[in-house]
Amino acid sequence: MNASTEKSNPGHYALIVVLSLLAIGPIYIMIMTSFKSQVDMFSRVPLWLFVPTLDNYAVVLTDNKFDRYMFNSLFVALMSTLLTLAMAGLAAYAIARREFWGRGFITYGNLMVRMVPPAVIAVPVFAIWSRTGFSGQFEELWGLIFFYTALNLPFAIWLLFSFVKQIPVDLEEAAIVDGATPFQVFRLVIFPLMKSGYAVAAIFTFRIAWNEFLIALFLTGRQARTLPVAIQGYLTDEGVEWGRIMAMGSLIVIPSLLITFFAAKQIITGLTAGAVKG
Amino acid sequence: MAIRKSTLLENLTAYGFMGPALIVLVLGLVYPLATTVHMAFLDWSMGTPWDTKEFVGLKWFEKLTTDPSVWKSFWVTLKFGFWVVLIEMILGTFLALVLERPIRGAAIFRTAFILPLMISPVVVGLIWRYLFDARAGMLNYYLGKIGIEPILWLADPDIALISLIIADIWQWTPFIFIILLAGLQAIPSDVVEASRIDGATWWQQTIMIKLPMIKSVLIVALLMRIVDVYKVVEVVFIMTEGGPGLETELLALHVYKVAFNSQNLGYASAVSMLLLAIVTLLCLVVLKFSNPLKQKSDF
Amino acid sequence: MGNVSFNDVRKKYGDIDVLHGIDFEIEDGEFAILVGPSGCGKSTLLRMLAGLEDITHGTISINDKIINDAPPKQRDIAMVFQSYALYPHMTVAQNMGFSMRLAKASKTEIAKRVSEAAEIIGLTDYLERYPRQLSGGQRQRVAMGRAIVRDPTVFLFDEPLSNLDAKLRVQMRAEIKSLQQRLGTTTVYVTHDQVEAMTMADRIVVMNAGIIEQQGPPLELYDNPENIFVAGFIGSPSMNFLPATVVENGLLLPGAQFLAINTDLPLQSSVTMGIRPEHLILDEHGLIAAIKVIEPLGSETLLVVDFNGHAMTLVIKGRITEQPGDTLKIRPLEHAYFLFDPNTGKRL
Repeated sequence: MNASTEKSNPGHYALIVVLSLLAIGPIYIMIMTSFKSQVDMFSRVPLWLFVPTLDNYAVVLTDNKFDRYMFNSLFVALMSTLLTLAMAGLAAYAIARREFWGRGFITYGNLMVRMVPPAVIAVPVFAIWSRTGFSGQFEELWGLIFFYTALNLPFAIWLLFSFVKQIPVDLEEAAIVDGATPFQVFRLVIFPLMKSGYAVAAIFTFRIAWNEFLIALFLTGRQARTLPVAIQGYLTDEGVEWGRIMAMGSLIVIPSLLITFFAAKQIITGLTAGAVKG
Repeated sequence: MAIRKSTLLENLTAYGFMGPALIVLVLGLVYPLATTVHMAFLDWSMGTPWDTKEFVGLKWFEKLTTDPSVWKSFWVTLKFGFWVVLIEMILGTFLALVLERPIRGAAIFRTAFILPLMISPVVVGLIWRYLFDARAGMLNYYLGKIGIEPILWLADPDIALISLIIADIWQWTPFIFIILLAGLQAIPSDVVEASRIDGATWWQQTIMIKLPMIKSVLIVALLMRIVDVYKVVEVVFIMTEGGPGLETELLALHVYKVAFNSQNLGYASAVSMLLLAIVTLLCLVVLKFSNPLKQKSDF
Repeated sequence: MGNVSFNDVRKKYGDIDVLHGIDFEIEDGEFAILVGPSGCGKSTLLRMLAGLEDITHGTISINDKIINDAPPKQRDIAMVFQSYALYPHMTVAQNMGFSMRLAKASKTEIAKRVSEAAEIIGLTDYLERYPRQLSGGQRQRVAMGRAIVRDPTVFLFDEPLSNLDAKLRVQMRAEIKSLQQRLGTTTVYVTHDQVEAMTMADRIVVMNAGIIEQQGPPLELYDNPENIFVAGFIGSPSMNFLPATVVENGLLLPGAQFLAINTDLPLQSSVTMGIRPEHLILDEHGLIAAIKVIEPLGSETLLVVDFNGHAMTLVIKGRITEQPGDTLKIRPLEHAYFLFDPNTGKRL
């Protein structure tokens, strides 16, 4: 490369335009398809210009079970995010700052637990669940919340841990000298400074809970079903109604799209936290 | 950095903070894991009460070693994991190297580029199933325009796995890209400048200076991908359900099928242990080469 | 060998002009130091010489050849960075031999040159260590060793001593100076520390806000500063400046104090008088000032006094018995003062 550090390369621009199109393209196609009428669907030639219709959305949204699925997913995702953050913050602080017996083990254990694929615990979760005899929408949703929280804690703890580390120890020591109890130190010093960390952790936790499929499949009956499971159900019916399915898919990704547009920077921070030092 | 030596009070406080998380983790993860291990030695069918279980020793593990569908799934999963991780690491790293310099529009590009990463895997499966559809899909339509016969992306036994790989690459390459980009941007610029003055070309700078300096970032990215690849189940569930035949039967999916189709939860547990063993082994192998946790800062 | 010349060199970042036309020559074998406050453009100029920055206008030549478009590789220069910029994943020996390895030199050749350079910088026992295992001073030497191995036409140094502690800095100054004399390579060195400039340079180039204020041998700049900036920049503690008016046979200083001097300047003209702290002495018949702070240094005493609303610094030999608050009578040594135009800053 040349001495110049400022000139940009037309080749670069071309590349990022192509990459952006490749990334967004398929998603756009889905959304576009969701606005196509049945007739247009059957056209052999993919239509880029067509008369959009809201039929598909109308059908999907008026299906009263869809409301329920939407509620279920939202409820579970929000609650498990809240719980995860609450617990992970405290735990991260303890691991980062406090010397205690078993600290090394817990840190490594945390990382090891992240390795576990949900598939591995889906079966025992099902077994455990059926042994408890719980059933019904309320119980099943809380069951999901519990397990999602467990699933998300390792990553959330690790992420918040890297944020806690960045807070200067001096601040805590000053608070202790001023007479604060450990919990006060957390509440008054650490917690306010970790807001951006919580934002990042919230994004990832919510995403996993919102999108999780296998455990929800095992655990929920028709009442407590979440969106990802519901969509899959529509698929296995005879003949795929692409318009309808794409409408559902578009609805499911709305939170993800919104979060990405507004919090891209936080997402990137979260992805790189701990992977890159400094 | 810890501030004080540990005392009983210290320990209690610390465990107080970690308490809720620990309880949830133990009950929600450790206990199920232990149950899986336990169940792998039991004969228990879905839908029957717990008391009807029988201890069968290593029966399921023996079955594992001879069951052709498990082996098929095992190889499919290894193949998938290998190609996916290899291509994504190379592609993601290459893109990060090429696009390292900040340019106008970088922020918009980054937002667009992380979208595949953020949307639900179920939806990813949907989208690509649609694109790959032999009749209604766009890919075949445009290929047809340049004279290529329609490809049975999802139905052709030789091609189905490739389609899955393509979908995964689309979804996860941005992940590698983002992490590698951050790693590259953390390299002090004067070290690279020093190499320029020493006479290094762009290629030499990359291979001899930059990549070695971000070795721990590469390893972490690799580990994260390996761990995530074995979790894949939604995309394949939606796209091919493991078919045609078992050509795309990823192990995580196979666990589900064994559990639901054969109702044999003991066997399903044994298969999921196989899955866990693979992931753990691979991670250990990578860590043997370089432990990013032990590494002091690269620079 | 290597002379370096800058001809009307300018630099623009976007719309901002950073260098406004730099002209000077460095002769072969000279140790030239670019010195100035932060932001004056000295590092930029050095980087342009290195090939790390583009040249917006003008030419830079090495050995009478214009090198504007040549990449760093082809300019035959070696650079020591402020942060040393060592390759963290290579040993000391590999760091030093890297450029030769790129040039596809033979292993024996590389080993030979590296061990020679290691001897010069005194790190022969450290060749197999990694940078993270070395102290700051040692890393600095490795950076220099890397440059020595190159055997370039010009050495470039970008504030190499800034990250070292004071004692080490003094030691390294002497080592760098003697190294340069021994090797005889043309050297361009950038620093913000005027003490380094004074002690090491054959020629100092004082820069400020993108222009050269003055250049010349160190003592020349000390004895004959051409403007207020150079006068105040060179010398530590820095020069005192007082506003004054020219009157019959002398100057009228603040507080209506009269100082007898000889000058041809027109009466009633305003001037700024500059006088170095070390050029003020105690004298019974001198001007009156009030002591504010006394800093005894042992063999000398630093005094901060208030001269009719203007703070002044003095350095006098020996000690004094007075206390803060007491008055003192001081005067400048014969011909040891400078007169500057208060508007242009130029020496009168």
